[in-house]
Amino acid sequence: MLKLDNIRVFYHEVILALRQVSLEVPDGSIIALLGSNGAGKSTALKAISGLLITEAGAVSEGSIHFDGHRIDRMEPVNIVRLGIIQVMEGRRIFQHLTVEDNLKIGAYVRNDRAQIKKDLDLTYEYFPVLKDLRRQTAGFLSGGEQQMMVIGRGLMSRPKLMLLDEPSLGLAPVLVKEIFDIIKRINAEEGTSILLVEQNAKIALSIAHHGYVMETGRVVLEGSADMLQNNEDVKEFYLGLSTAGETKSYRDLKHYRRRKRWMA
Amino acid sequence: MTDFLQLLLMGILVGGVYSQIAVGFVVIFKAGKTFNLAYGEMVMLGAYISWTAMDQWDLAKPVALLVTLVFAITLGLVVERLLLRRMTSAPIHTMIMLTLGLAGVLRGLVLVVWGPDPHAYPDIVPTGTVNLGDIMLPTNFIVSFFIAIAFVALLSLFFQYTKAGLSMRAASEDKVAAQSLGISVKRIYQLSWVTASIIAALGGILLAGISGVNLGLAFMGLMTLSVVILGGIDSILGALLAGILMGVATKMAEGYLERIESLKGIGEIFPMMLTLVVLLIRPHGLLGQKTVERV
Amino acid sequence: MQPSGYFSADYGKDMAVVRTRAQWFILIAFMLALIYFPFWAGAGGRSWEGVLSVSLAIDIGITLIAVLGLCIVSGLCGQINFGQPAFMSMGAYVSGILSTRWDLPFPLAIVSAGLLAAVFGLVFGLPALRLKGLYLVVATFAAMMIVPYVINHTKSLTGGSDGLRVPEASIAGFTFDSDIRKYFLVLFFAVLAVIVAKNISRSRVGRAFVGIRDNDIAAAATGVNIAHYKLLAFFIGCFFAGIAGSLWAHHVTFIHAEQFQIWDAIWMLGMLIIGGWGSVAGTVLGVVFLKGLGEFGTVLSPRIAEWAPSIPERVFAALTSQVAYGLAIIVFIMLAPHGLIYLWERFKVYYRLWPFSY
Ligand SMILES: Nc1ncnc2c1ncn2[C@@H]1O[C@H](COP(=O)(O)OP(=O)(O)OP(=O)(O)O)[C@@H](O)[C@H]1O
Ligand SMILES: [Mg+2]
Repeated sequence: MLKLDNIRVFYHEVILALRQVSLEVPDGSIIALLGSNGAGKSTALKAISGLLITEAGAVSEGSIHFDGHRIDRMEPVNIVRLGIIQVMEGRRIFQHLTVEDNLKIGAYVRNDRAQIKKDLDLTYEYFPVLKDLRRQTAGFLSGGEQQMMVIGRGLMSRPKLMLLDEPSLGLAPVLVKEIFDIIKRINAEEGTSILLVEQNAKIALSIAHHGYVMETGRVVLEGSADMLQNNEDVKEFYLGLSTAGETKSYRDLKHYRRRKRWMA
Repeated sequence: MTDFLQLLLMGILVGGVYSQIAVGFVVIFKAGKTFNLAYGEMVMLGAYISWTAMDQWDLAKPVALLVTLVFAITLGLVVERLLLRRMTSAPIHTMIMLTLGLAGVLRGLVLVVWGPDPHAYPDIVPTGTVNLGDIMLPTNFIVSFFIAIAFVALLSLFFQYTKAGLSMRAASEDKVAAQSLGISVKRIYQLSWVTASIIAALGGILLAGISGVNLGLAFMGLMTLSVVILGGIDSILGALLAGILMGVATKMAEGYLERIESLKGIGEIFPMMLTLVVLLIRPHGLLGQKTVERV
Repeated sequence: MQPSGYFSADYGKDMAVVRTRAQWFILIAFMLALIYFPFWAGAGGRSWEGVLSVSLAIDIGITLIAVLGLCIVSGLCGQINFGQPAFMSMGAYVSGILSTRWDLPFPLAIVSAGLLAAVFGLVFGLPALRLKGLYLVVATFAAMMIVPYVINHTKSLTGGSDGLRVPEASIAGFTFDSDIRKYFLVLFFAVLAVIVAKNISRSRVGRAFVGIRDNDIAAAATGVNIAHYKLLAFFIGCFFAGIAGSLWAHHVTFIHAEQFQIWDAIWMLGMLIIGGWGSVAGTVLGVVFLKGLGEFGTVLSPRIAEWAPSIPERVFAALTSQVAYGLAIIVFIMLAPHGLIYLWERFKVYYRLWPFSY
């Protein structure tokens, strides 16, 4: 289980990106992390995976625990070994490698050859397209295929927890649906916990058990997926629905929502 | 015609060794987008160390080889640790000057330890020539060529099929993504420097077998640079091709052009001129990737 | 950061190099010291162990002109040029040939040297239109290989490997034949070069150069004609090299292709880096510092050799030349990657703000 306890994150020691963020990912759950651009969602994921150091960022206060280990000062390599894998925003593929080599790299931290072979087959089972393309150079894949490949690559490390950063980015709705179905299956069948960052709140909440909403570096709302789906603010700001189907006067907005407009 | 064939074959044989050396440069570049202008000096050091082990300490050849290997590995690790680790995101001019500074230090040290006099290198393979009709090829050239080529082949297999090789290629494309998968970028840099250092030392041994041990071996740094640039700085196949091309071109220039009185000595600058001309037509060398923008 | 109490009331003031009365005072005092220097050092015996000699000052001045040219091509415009000594040798030979074979007066010879070296620089600048980084380094390296070859193989014109004798410079009957006279000749050109370089770096052209250096694609997108400016940078930079070469020829009065080595090219770039990449004041600092260091080494080494005779001479030479230089570059890059000028700026800010840290 993952637990973030009041963490504060700075980039370059001066840019405050997260203040007092706490969240939890219980074993076997799917947790959605929502919020507008620049809210700090990716930063939170990088804080967990340790990749903050690649951008001169650091957790300055608070702590992150995973399965009894304190991980906020660990090297990314060791965090991966503990079973946390981040699938980064924007499909970071190795474009000159073949699809299969990309997937194999995902299993870098493992040494059990036989099991790796099985997991490769399993990955191809989840993403049948990749099987047909496995000898292709990854750079030539379509955006959707690339996204599937990076998720598959993450899966190859047999993680206990997967951090997915905007898997729907730039994909057609049908494909988004397909990918989210697979994510749900992975969670159900492999028992992998998933922390899912999304702009598309609707689809994220449709598969999540629980969710958090972030604004300018804080968590401003949290609750079960059902509760969030029915929350007026979430509906208005993230689901694009307004309650009465009529535009409300700006004056009616609650205090924090008005603030949010300013900040957003 | 015999002349031509003789020059061609000799060029190919020497070119094979150039290729083998150039590959080390490519390895470092591929892994971390850094490069090492002290590479020629590392080649030279390999030659001197192995010579000392064999000729001065009278060690058996395999033992001497081992000593050289250990030395090369240490050198690679030390240089990586002390100088290059912090330089992976430095601007290109900084990297150039840093490794040139290193070149000065290494060359100076060779002078201090071994002095300026050239030495004959012990014969690793039986001397003699292989005669193909009128063409005579020295056996040590032939053996060096095959060792060099075998080594390059082994290396490309390493990059193609081993986990370490694969992870090096991945890290060279996207360091952060590689890190997100648990690849230690530090390890990769170390590995690449050690690999390159071993390649350089082996190249030094092969070259010394052909031309003896002398300070001129550092000139190989320049040769390597033109070979690597000619082939495309991030392509092993390019380095292989360019090395052989360069060997042939140099031999041809020495054989034909230098017969003309006013062109004496053109063999020395011919590699550079060839590279310049190719660059004007193909700015990324013969097989270089266009996307390698950082440098 | 500006001195307190100083406000840029208009654009002219904002662009001013010398801002306060104190700065004027320091500048004038510095110029006076430069003028007085040869009389002090030339009097003999007074300069410390002969280190601060007039001929060293001449050498520094000439090198400074060449490195300022390099500062424009490489430091400002980002086109790393390993061929500056080659362009310098072009200038030296043009000036030498014109004044020996055609009896051209010195002022004409030096201008022609600058111009021809500049045109020649354009030829080697052409690859820069398509090449970047290490690829360009190799292309300019080629200049360092090809130029000496050409010089050595055109014996009828250049004297080939026998070298070429060059007369001392003379203007309207006044010959610069002593070190003190040469010193003032070089001082004049060096000061001129600093002023020109400083003004280029602050001008529209200079900003275009920096734009190309930092991000050529973005610079092109904002309407900077990249090809034009890259060539211009090479033209100006090599013009400086030509002038420096000409002064060198008339200073040493005997030139040879071997006088312009790849090692010098490395060294010049080292001066830029140690001084501060892209800064004119930094360039001056870098040249003075490294030249001084080198001189120090040459003066010091026979002394140490005397003191420890057991060390063989060759060991010593290697240690003081290559190893020391190599180490100097490495240490500087590791400790002061932004150059001496950056340290100086930091000190100034610190001084102005003291005792507050910001
Ligand atoms: N490498 C960095 N250096 C400095 N500041 C950064 C860096 N990365 C992010 N930030 C800042 O931190 C804040 C949070 O950024 P983050 O990338 O976490 O947002 P996000 O919620 O993922 O947004 P998006 O939905 O657009 O991906 C932003 O204000 C951003 O400007
Ligand atoms: Mg993000």
